[in-house]
Amino acid sequence: MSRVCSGPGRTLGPGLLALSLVFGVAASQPANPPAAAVDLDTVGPQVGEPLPDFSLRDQGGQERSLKSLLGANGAVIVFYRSADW
Amino acid sequence: MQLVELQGRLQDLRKAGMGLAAISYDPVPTLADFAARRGITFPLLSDAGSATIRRYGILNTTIDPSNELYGYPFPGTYFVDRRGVVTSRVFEPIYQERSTISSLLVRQGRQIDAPATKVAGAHLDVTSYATDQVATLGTHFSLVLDVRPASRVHVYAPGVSGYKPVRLALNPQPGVVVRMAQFPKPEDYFFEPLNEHVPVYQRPFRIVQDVMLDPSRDGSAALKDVTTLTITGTFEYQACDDRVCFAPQSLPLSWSIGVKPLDRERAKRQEKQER
Repeated sequence: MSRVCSGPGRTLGPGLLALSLVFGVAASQPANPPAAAVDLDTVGPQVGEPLPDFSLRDQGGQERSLKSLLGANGAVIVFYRSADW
Repeated sequence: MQLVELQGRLQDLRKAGMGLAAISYDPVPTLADFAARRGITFPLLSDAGSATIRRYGILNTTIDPSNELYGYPFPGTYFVDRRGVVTSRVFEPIYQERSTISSLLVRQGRQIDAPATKVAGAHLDVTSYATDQVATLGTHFSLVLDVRPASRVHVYAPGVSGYKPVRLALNPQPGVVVRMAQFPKPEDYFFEPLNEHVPVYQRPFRIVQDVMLDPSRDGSAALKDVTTLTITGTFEYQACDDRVCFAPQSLPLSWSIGVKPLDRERAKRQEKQER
């Protein structure tokens, strides 16, 4: 079985894409651009691609990696705006 | 709120052998405060500075960097397998709208714990439930029909000609938006006497009907004083066995959904009021 590839080669693409989007939007859209300007089908890792690993602290201060969260049948990873709004 | 709803499905996810975590740009103390107040026990991960959000390529680039909300991701949900490879991803295109985790799970054919009603019809029975007992405006949830045809009986799939296909007909009402219905792939049935191939279901199958509480101005007005919403409809079908077709049937169904106002409580403000 092959290991999950989550090295820089894998993650550079989306990172660069995000940067170019930031600059692109900043340069061409003055205020309140519509959300439809971004095609949400194409943002972030796609089906069949590995999620880049991470190491982030949880609400108790404990470091968690993606790998540590995976169950026998995987995991659900949710990105949300904020718990504070 | 999405995190509270996720907490409510933690047991179902554990049973399914799936881990759960939610990531935002909030600092750890904000997450600790929220988790304590709302009873969140699964990991709320702090991506303060949004480095992971950027690395994933999902930073909300439509927010101006001078705005305090800069650093938000585009809200989305990833399902990954045990190696961390994406099996499905859901990013909602409309700000006010979101599918519940329960709805996403049943659309993937997974089991969730929900109070269900079993109705016996002619030549089949239907177990039906709503994926969520409460919903807010803009929430996409699902009405699920698990249909079990009797032995040697088949019913017709959407797209069939000459027979009445299975259909869930919901009675229209203000504040409720009926969206897509998901039907499984049918089997091909060869009916020799007529030398015809027809798309059918003969084994147990699931229909998932996506429904939304209308977040528009009209929808909000219609649901203003509603605390419990009853959605009614009928399951329509025509059953046949290998020799005869029976009369088309219409099976009445209903679901009750609690309507919750939008949760706009802020962690810090709440904390200050309590002290």
